[in-house]
Amino acid sequence: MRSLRWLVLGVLLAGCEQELTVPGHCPEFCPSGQPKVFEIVLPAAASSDSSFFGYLGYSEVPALLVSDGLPAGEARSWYRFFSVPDSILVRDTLRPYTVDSIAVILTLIARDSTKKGLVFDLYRIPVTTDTTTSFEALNGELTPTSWIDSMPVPDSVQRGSVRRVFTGASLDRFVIPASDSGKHALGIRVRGPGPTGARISSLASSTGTASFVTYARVAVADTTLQKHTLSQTPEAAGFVRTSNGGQDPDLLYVGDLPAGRTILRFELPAVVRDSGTLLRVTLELQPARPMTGLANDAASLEVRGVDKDLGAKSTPLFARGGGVDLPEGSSATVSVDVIGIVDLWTLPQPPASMLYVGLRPEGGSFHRPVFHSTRSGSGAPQLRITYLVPAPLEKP
Amino acid sequence: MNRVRIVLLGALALGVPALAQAQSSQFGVRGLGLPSFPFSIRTQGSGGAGGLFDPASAVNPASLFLVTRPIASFNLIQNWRSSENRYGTATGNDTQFPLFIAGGQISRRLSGGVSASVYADRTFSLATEDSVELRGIPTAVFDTLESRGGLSDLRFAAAYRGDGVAFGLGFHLMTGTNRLAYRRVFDDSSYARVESLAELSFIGVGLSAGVIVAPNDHLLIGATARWDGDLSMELDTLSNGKLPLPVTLSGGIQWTPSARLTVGGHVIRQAWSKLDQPLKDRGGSGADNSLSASAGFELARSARTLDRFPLRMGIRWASLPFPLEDGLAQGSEFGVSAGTGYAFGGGRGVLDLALERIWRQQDSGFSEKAFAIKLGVTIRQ
Repeated sequence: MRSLRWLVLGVLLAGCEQELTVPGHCPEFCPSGQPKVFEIVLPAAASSDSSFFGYLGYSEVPALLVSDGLPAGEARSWYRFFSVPDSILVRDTLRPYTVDSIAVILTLIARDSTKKGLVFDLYRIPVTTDTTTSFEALNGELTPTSWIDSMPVPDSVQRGSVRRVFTGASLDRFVIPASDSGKHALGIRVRGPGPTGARISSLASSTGTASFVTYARVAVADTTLQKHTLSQTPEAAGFVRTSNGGQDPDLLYVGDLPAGRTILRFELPAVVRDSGTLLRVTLELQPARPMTGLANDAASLEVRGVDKDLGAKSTPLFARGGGVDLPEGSSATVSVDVIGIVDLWTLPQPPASMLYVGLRPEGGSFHRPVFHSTRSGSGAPQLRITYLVPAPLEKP
Repeated sequence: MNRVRIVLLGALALGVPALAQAQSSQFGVRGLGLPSFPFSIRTQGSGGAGGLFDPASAVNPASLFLVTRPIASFNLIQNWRSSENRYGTATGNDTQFPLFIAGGQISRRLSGGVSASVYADRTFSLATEDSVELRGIPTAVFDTLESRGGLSDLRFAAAYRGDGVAFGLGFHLMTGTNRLAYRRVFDDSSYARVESLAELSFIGVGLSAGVIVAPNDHLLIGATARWDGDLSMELDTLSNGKLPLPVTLSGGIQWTPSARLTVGGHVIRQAWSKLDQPLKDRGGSGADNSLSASAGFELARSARTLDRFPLRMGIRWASLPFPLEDGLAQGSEFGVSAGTGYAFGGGRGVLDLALERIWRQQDSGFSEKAFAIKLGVTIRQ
């Protein structure tokens, strides 16, 4: 009986894996109908596409922009550091100090990697500079008389810290007027052999922000207590850009600052919703102007679904989305595959048939694409839907 | 007796659902699939030759007259196959549990039994490659159509034993499902893969009658007739019409010239052509009548040890009812088999083993070679 049990078990196990497939050919040797593939172009619902702004404030931007001669526009950045103390506590006594040297440290997030000879120029600017300061006002402060010095960026550094130490006579440029309460404010420009730009760290950057470091010496007998380092981080930072030409209500905006996002609504046809199987769904957006940014520094268009249509306050669905890198300088149609979102619209209890279009990185990119809307006369946003209508499976 | 009942019921309960796994063949793609006859492994060792007289087979209800004590038996078949058609070649394997049968004596002259078997098998997977134009670009697509399941036959039968003759009647409940899955994958991964599932379920009833006559001590002559009603079909719970099932007629002979040697043969005819037009109306390729014949022998090592490693050999031939493509000549299959058996536990358990080499052919375009190892387990009180 034991041998019988093993034999039965062996044959059963041998049958656990089955390979059934043989080659077929339709329609001759194919016991099912042939599914049909259709394609439709579905424009966004008329006048229900719009852009909203203010999703990201100046203090939340992931990067600051500086540029020189870029088609994407001019940008200048600024930092205002916390106050530098006028004395140092040594052996329970606040003592005055002399400055040996000063280091300014910036963190480079991105640059055009093909351009050599990148240089940051540092300017002393009023400590009253804040996020309401316009491009024209800040740019007006960056003059030869306020110029402190330059910080060459080694060509080998694509991202990371860039440090410049100032000593001797150049320290005179860092003397803080009494009215500034010990604060330094620096304006940053960039230049290179041609049009160029860079992104540098902001207060919200994950890579760390800028530093203003003072190497001080206190007059005490104990030489081990003479040298001190005072390191200040920015209490405020920001950037300003030349205008994007204003906000035309007949166009759709994404990115920029305060960050803009666009909402598109669609009505999925019943034949697709009820009978079709989606194969590919592509959102097509027609740029209203060439998409300019910083070469070799990608920005991407991010498309998300929405659970409930609450207009500008709709919360994106982060589980389903699509995205595409924006081509530099192109006016070609931007296509984003969004089948993962539109597929949800065919469910028995679908979320809002709405797309939420934003830019990544939001608020810290040179790209600020502008697209035609349903009110533009042509080039309205549309979904290109390829779907399949299954054939009856049974054709004995 | 209670233990025996429990064993029999348990075997049947386990067996019926397992019938869903069955033999895969490209010759089961059309119509209701590849027809199957419920012969025991002992019988299949000799090509199915003695099937009309075997109580562990479910073809002739009259054969239950040989059941004088409770019996349960099940079959297990492992197939390896090499298929060729004008679109390519493939090899594969599958496992089949085609027959469970249990029976017992009701009174001195009356025996009864119940069986679950495969009537027709539609387990297959077809892979096709094509090109479709998507957004103006020709794109390769890979389709797979898979079917699992088939039509099962649950038979309740009784046999009456007279003097030199036995009669049997059977009631058949035909049930089953085809789980169909269509999948399409695009060469361009930008396009989502497609999967479409459907379930085709069947139900129908039938009646069978059989007789076995023993003109002398060495000869048995048997015949059966089976009528099956229309098969009602549902596709995903929606009615999908009806298909008529064929009338099946069979006749066989078994000769025992000595205690060691048994020789037999049978012929089975199924009138599948009544499905021809209904299948064509559904877009299928129709049906033809089929004929099946077999012959074989069993030679025991000695008259005292009939169940200890006898030699069984046989051949069978059958025409296949469903053309694989429109206009093709009728297909056929031919099998050569050999087998043996071993009784143990004082004859309470019997293990039967059979090997079969099968050739299937339709026109010049479709052919298949298969090899099957078959195991039968029979338990008797």
